[in-house]
Amino acid sequence: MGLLLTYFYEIDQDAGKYAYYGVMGLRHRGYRVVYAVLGPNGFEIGEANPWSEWGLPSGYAVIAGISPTARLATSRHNGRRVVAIIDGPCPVEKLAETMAKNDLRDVAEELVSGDEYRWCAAIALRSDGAFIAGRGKESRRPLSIGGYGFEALYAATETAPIILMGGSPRYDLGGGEAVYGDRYSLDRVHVPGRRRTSLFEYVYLARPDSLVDGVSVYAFRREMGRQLALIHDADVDVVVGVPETAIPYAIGYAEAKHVRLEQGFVSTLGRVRTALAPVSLEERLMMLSLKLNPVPGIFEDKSIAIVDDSVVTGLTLKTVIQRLRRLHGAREVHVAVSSPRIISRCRFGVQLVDESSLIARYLSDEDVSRVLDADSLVWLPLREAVRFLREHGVEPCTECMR
Amino acid sequence: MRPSLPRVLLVGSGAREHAIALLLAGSPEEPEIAAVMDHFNPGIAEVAEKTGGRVYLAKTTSADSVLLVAEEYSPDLVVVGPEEPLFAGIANKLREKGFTVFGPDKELARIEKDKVFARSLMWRHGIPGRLRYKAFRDPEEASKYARVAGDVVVKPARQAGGSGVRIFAEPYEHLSKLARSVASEYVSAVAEKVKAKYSDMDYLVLVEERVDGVEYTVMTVTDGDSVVALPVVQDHPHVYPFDIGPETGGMGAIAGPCWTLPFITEEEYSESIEIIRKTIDALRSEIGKPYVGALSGQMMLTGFWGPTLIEYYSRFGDPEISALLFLLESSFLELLDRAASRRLAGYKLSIKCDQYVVVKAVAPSGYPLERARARGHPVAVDKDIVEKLGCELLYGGVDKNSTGDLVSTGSRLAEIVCPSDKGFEDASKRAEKAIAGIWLRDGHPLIHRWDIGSRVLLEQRVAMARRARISYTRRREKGLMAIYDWVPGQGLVKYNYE
Ligand SMILES: Nc1ncnc2c1ncn2[C@@H]1O[C@H](COP(=O)(O)OP(=O)(O)O)[C@@H](O)[C@H]1O
Repeated sequence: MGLLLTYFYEIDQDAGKYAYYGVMGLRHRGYRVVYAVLGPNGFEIGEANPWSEWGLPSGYAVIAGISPTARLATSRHNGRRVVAIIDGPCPVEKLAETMAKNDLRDVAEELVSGDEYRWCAAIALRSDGAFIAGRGKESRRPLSIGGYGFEALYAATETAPIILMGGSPRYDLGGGEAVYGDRYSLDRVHVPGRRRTSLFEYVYLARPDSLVDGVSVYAFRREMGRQLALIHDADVDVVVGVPETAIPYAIGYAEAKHVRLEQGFVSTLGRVRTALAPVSLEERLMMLSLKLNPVPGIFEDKSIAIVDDSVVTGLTLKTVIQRLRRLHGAREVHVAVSSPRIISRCRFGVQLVDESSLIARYLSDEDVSRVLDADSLVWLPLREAVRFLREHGVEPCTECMR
Repeated sequence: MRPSLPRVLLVGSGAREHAIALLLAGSPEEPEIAAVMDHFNPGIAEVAEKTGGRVYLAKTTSADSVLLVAEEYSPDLVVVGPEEPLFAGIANKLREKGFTVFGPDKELARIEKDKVFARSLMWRHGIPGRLRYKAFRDPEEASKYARVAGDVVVKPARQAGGSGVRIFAEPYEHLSKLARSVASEYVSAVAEKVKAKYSDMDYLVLVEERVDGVEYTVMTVTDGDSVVALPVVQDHPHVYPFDIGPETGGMGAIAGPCWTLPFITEEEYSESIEIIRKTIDALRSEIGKPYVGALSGQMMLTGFWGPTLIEYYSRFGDPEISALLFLLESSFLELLDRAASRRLAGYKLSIKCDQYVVVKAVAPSGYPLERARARGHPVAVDKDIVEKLGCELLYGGVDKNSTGDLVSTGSRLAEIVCPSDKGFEDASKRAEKAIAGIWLRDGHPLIHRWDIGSRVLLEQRVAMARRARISYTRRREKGLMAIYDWVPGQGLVKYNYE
């Protein structure tokens, strides 16, 4: 669920050291990274857990992807080797093979116009130093290009990793657009396409210090928090965000409702996106109390608005609400979910939720509210999110939402 | 002007000199233009032929060779285009022999050649827009310094044709160890290189503070007393689109409408000119001679000081001067001639205020990292394509090979210059089409920057300039014209920029 390219123009430079920080800037998207590092002696391919102690080998160019949705494939032809990484359900083996055999421009054209690549974003490196980074014509995955002084070209799914590598974001690829080159050129192909970037990127996946397709993720979330407050018919004294990734929404919510925003919880785990963790439901619940320990005193006899940035099974929220009622004396607990209802698994692999566990797929709002034991419940209105992004030139994909 | 048709001898063979030749040829005085060049530039040759002049091939860094040509041709005015002949003292030699020369003597051209001299002059004279720096004679010592300094730019102390400058940005602390270790290796390598190549340098390498901001160039013409500023031009030093990739001599430029660019205010423009004016005065007082020629400032609008000087050119910028082709209204010959004969006082330059100009350089793939790849390819040109679009083609890195065919020299091959009264995007689009007017016969690819003049790029510049402005305005309003550092154990250090 994320791609990275780090390409230094001088081959004695160590891109691995920079790409390390780029991957760190993507690791909120998942627990495994697959990578290939190209140096004067060829490729080194590997896999790592960026949440553990890890590192990258030396080389002047690196490609990396956050698995499982990002998959890596290699191919060889006439002594040329290619490593490709595709994010999404598109044929990565085929891309690697095409790039091993063909002219770079033809590969780029195929990537941006071929139907089999239409949903995906891809990055590939060839042993002769050629690279490509592009989006299929209706790619759900964003991709930004950046530069680092006179030294390097960067590309990443969002802009924060580019900045963490010392670079400046310069250009956001559109749907059906790719850049390709080597030490001696940098070119672009563009076919009519659309920025069908997944709404899930804005709502959940990207970091709030990133721009996605040129849109500030933070500004989007704060504005959606405001919109939520405007439709939420609830009298509240205090607003809290759970988990802390919901805080930008909570800020907007509190601002629009003119009520106090509090830090409601402290995490013992750091910024782990538990919804993405490769763990069972039980384990997830076990992590919960470590992740969301309530701050004593702020809930007592108050009407609380909890702003949550994702409700899958609702179990997290239910547990939190119970705790606030049983141990912290909350009078009323109102729930504002800062994402639209998620009702199916993404067929483009942007999220990989288990459909049978999606509460919004099976229950009415009224029943969800009963399960959660909430005094009221609102979801982010899809049309507000879409309207906001359309105004910024993005036509978001909302297929899994309602 | 003198009564008979004036005769001009132009020194140099690049795209800049082609532009100067065209600018001179367009003057109402209809001068005859001859040129002395190192390699055969067909564009300059064409201008020479049309105006009744001629071309000479000679080593332009050899004062004696150029003098021979000048004595033979006997021009009313000699215009020296590139910096290397100036560094070599061509202007001195010709002036001694009584020629009227546009281009500074070598003691004054040192302002470009010797970057340590330039920086230290600014500090000695309190010229605004200066940066902190440290210069080294010892590679070892430089290396040690770079290891602790952080967030610096390393420059060879001797100007070496736009190469060797490297930025070791540390926008974030987590990158500092990495950047510093590379910087310290690099700085000693550069120092060794300068030491091996140039015997005439006091210092070898310069390490200066890195600044951020929008770059632009202000070119001026001066006779040592009066200063005439040309419109602001923006160069594009990165080789690839979106300001990505290695440094080049400049992959293109934009200028217009009128005196400044949409992201530089009139005041910032005036302040930039003031920096150059003060530099001319400072040079006069230290060297004891008037600066006669072009003095350009490659500037950056920074959050610290507003207009900040990155580098001086003792000449017109390339590709900056090319933009003037479609902006100038006055006689270029009169401008250069009055400067060269020290009669510039009272001169008023007029330009067109409804034109947007885009310049795009075209280079054989391989430039700038491996020039050998870019060299020796046969060049073909269809000038009609370019001219039908209302654009101009300037020859740069081309030469005649032994069989008389035009081949690439490995540098920027040519420049396409297009004007528009509609905007940069329109000019840029035309330049994109006009680029079809030049290609390499052997199919070797040409590169250029399709993004120059684009809205995206312009918006980025506007945003960057706005941020810098917020920051430097605050500094000025509060009178904070010093920087303080506190080093534990060493105490408070003050750098006064007043
Ligand atoms: N102090 C600095 N801070 C930031 N960037 C710089 C600084 N000095 C130079 N640069 C960048 O490096 C480029 C080249 O530097 P310059 O001094 O003009 O050397 P040259 O033209 O001789 O290569 C500039 O165009 C600018 O982009």
